[in-house]
Amino acid sequence: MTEKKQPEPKREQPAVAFDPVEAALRQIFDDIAAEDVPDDFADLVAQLTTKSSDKKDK
Amino acid sequence: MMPEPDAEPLSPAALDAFKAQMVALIPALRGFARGLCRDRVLADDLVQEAMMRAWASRHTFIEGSNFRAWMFMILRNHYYSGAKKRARYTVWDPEAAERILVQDATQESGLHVDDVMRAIHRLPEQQREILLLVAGAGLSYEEAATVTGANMGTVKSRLNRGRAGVKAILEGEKASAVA
Repeated sequence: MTEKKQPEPKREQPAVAFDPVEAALRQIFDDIAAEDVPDDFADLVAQLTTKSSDKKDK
Repeated sequence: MMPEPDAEPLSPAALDAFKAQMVALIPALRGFARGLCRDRVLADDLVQEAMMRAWASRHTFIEGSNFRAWMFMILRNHYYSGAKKRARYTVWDPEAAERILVQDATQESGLHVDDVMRAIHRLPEQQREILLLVAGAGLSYEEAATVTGANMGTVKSRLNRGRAGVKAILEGEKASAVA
């Protein structure tokens, strides 16, 4: 009788050592991402789109 | 603003996708720019300039290639091309730093983020940008290699040396504070 071969358990990824410098940097970027984006950016995006549409209309 | 190119090969759907990808990257680009120049206002100007440049060069972007790396590369190149004009920002300015980041110690890392930023700015530029790109913005080694024009081995090496450098600076400061 042939034994049913058990599937090999998936190897876990080696744990990445906690690095306080990386954690602090990630937090800095997360905090910036949580800030409200200034209206200038929305204006810029609108302006780019408008410029592009105007050009097509000509 | 950069001149608009005459060619307009992208379809309306592709243009919308291009714009959406650019908008989605704004927070990470702001973080990277702020880490590079240490000035909130200048950083936002840099990001907006990079967005305008990207838009003006949209016909050169190859659909399916890595948009994130492309955008970060434009921002980085724009920053370095004007770095000499902004030499005043290369000197550490505690007041400017306070404008950038006024935060409490992070419970996650146990380090003050402003201490980390100050230490990062004492690193060689090449190590600093890799730390910002990989550890901060979450780019892969491959993306960071594309952005900086270095090979993957160099990226890993700069990252490791940057991390070690920051720790050494912070430990040195702690030791001198105790002494």
